[in-house]
Amino acid sequence: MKPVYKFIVVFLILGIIAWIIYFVVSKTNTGTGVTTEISATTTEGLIGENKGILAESTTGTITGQNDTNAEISNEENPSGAVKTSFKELRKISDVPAQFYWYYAENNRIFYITKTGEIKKVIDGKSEAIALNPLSNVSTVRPNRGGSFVLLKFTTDTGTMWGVFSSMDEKITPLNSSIIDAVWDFYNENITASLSNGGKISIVSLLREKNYSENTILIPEIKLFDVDMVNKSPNELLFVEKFGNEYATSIWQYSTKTKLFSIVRSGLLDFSLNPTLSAYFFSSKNDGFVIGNSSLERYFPTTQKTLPEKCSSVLLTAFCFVPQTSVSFFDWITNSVFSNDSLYAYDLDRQTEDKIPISDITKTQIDAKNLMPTASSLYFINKYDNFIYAFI
Amino acid sequence: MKNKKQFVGQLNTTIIFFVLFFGFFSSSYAGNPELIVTWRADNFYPTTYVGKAIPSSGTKIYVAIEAFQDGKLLDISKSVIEWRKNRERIQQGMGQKETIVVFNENDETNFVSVSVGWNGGSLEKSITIPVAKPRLILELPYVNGVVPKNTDIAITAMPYFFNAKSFSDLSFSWQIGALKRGTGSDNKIIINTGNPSVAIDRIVTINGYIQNRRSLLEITRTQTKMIIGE
Repeated sequence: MKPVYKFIVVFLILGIIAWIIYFVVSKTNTGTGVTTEISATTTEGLIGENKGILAESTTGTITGQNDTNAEISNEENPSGAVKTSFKELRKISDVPAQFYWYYAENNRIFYITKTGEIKKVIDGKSEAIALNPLSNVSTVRPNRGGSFVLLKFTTDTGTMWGVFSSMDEKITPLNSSIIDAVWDFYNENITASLSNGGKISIVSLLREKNYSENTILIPEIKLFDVDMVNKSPNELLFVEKFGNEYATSIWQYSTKTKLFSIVRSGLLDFSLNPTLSAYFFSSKNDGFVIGNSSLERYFPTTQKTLPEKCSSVLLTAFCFVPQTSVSFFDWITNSVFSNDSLYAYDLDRQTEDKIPISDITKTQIDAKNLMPTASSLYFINKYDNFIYAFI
Repeated sequence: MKNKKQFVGQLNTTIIFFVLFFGFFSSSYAGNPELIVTWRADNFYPTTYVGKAIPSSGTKIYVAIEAFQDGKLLDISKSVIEWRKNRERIQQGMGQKETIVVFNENDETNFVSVSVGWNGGSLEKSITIPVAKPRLILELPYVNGVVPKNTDIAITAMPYFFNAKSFSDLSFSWQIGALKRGTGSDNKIIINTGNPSVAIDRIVTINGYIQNRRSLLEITRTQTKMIIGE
């Protein structure tokens, strides 16, 4: 072969390799790089993403990988299995509660009183557990199933985080450098931001090591006033806290590709309540939305409410809806109190139904911290801060 | 042999050409670096408040910057970073990813801008930080403020965004109907709607006052109405 032909052949081969590399790189960045919108997923997509976890959400047990390709059907997890008509409103706590959680394995409510005492409800009666009251409890984050609970409180040495075991009724203190902590997508390890000499890193605290050892997810990043949300096993959202008229941004970090991207920006009065089967959020831009984890509306609603008045279990969502509209800032600061109606949403069939509660109770309800189970709907009524349940 | 040398030479030329071509190709593909500026106000609000603290005049505001390009967080620890408050430089230095800004009554605008030296140029970003007066919310947990007659009613005054460290820095006082009372650092008052000094009329005006002992100019009054029902 003449040298010139060899030259052309080699050039063509290199050209093809270059084109393939370019193609792969551009595809990779389209999916995970800097984008202003993430592509839409359907109802089936959202539910399919979380199928493995959804099946466990009411039992509190944890399994391995979820099946990203499969869809969940009513036959496998019938939304009808979740009770949406109630006969009674029952007062659950014997004193006002700051926070509570539902421990699914024992079908038991735990709650923290205003004085920091932890109580559990057994056969309708509250009894204190054998722990000294906690001071200034500001954050309580149960995992799905409520078997372990992240707590933020203060001690003589300052603010600290701990993990409460609902089974052992003991608190395991966490690394004192923790700034914020959430449960990971698999409900097992803890995703935490750690401060070390002014540098902040994002780490995963491992349950198998009793949360005393960690793996680094992001070596260094400094974002103030953001909430972390584990959107998927490999995707971590950073959501700027709600600001009264302040434009919020949402960023996403892929622990798999190590790439960062903007999900949304310029969201006025944004608030988000992510659950496994639906993301409830609202903003001045979008209004109230029942959406997917890509923050896109997939469920048409006729009612306007606040994300904090909603929650879901399996394929059923519940929302308390104020009879007159309230602003989120006024509501979270207790400047106004609402009088709520109750709605149920079948996320699979995309139906919205008003649940008649006026026949059951004349109590005025301004609900927050909803916890639906297959048979009951727990919530705190802001009028007296007692825990109630529709049964 | 000569042909082989000639071929190797041509191959080298091809590879150099390829490297230059691909280098140009990929550099032209690279997106523009983007800056993320976030902040938090260091002031006092109830632990139950889940929103963002809004600074008031005199509040320390911690501001931080991150940069990313094509999804990758950039290492700007070797970059010169300059921070400005209302166009006035407040800090400059290598890798200064964080600064503290304080807005005062005299500030007409609330801009924070930052520039980061990068690849011979600079990346810039400006934000406006909302500054508001501290707020006092009177919690009266009844629909439309309608309360039952001859009943003890608890009213709670909740302070938001004061430049205080705790409730002990704050002093509360009240005027409810004809009743005037100071409650010190206790932010609750219980009144009986059968009390004639309170229930002068069916509609009772409640004034709550708060003063920050650490900053005597931080004094706020909030008024609400209570309607005594049947």
